[in-house]
Amino acid sequence: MSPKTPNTSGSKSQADLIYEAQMRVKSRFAIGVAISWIVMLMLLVFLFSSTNIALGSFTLKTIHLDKAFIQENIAFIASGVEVTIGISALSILLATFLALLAALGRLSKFPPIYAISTFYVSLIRGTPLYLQIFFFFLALPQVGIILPGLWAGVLALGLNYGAYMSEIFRAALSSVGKGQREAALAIGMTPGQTMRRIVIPQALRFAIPPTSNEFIAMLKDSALVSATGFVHELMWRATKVGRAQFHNLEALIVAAVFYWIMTLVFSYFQNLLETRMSRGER
Amino acid sequence: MAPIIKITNLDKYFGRIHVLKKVSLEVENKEVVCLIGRSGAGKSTLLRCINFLEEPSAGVIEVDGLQVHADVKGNKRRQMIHDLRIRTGMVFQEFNLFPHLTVIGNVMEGPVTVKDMDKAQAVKIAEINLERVGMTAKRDEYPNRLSGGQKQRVAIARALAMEPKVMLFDEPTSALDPELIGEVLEVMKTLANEGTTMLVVTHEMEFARDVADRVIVMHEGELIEQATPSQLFSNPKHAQTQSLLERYRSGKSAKQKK
Repeated sequence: MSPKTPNTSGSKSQADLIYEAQMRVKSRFAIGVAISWIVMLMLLVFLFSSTNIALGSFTLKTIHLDKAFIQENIAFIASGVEVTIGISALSILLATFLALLAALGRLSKFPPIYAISTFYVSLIRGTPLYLQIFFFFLALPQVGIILPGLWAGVLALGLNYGAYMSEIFRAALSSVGKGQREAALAIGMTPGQTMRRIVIPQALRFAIPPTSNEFIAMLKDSALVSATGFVHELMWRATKVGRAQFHNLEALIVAAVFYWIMTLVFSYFQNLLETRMSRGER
Repeated sequence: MAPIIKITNLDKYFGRIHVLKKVSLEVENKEVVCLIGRSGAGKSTLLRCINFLEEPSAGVIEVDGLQVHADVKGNKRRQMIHDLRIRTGMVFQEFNLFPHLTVIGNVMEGPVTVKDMDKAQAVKIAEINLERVGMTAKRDEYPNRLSGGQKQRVAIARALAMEPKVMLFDEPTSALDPELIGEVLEVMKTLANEGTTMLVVTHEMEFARDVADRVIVMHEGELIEQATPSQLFSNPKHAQTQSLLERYRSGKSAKQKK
């Protein structure tokens, strides 16, 4: 926030001086962090520069990448970014919906509802995501459901993340105090209205930061969907060209760079979101 | 005229603890009744049983002609509790404003959601009630921008907007900083003068003395004494009442010495 209104006498108040000193410490720290990041980034690039430095009898070797291959195929791999973001966005929507249902079920006093919720969470958390993804490709056609590859992937990722995120939503729902429910009931709202109009809106606010965190994790877990061979996202494209031309390492590193960039971009938005939400303090 | 609140033989147990012991109480229309007593005496529980935020174990609650027995079951029970809550407005110690809604949004919530009123009319009703508690200027603020006293005034407006037959106050000033208590009591005094029926659980003896038509003393789940404030404060009969008022008097004289 901006410092207090400037002193008309021209001399700075004690509060201003303290504030400025704190700002100086903060910005010095930020500059230090930025420089260190740049140095580490340069080291990382150097690691892949294919330069060899002879130090007497010892040679420092770095990793060799075929630049011509990268230039030729980067566009092909990059066009998977859209699919990766798309599949993650759809999956997080499904996961949010399922997580909310599972969390509400978990709070239910009706045994079958509570059981469905805990059974779902237990089953999904008890088996690997990789396996679940295959399950939907292999099992659904047997019962006559043939989903396009993308949708089977979304279903698997959504169900999986929904189970994990149900804990987030459960915590979010119980973060809304008992007094809120009582106030709503006291003005004559039904339990359903209380949930919809008072509890869930507040719980969602609480759940947004951890959910965006899950989304960032999902961006990378969506790579597992490539294993089925039907969803042409980032990872699938990288393995395809890499294998075909015996340049697996190059292809994977290109994909890694894109994953990292996506994560950086979404982390930036996540930070914005969190600062904005912390301002509207609850 | 029939009493507007009539409680008959109300029993409440928390597990094996007998919190309310066959309490019977009547409040007349436009009457202001203050419930005083030590903490743990059952004052808040009694108040919260009236709108079934606390489920009575036995007995009958009647508000404005609607009789609800503690043991009524099923859909009928749900409907009756709902009707009971529409007839009563409640103000909580901790305000419990909805933090995701603006001041006017808080006050409109009941009329819009519960009474299915259209927005324009709900805004009008909300504005009238914010005016009554002197909070018109803050209508578009969110609760976190308000002081405790302001929050409580908005909470009062929120309850009033439902046009309840009686207002229940559960220690409305106990969570407030001392300098903010006055503004809330002032609003409550105005409501009392306007003829609002009020049942107030409070530790504010001065308010009870100045505003109440009747003061009831509770002790260990029973109503042990009731009288007009002038009678009760000048001539308390029960030993518990005497010691309660004694503490109040000594507290007041200590304040005056400062």
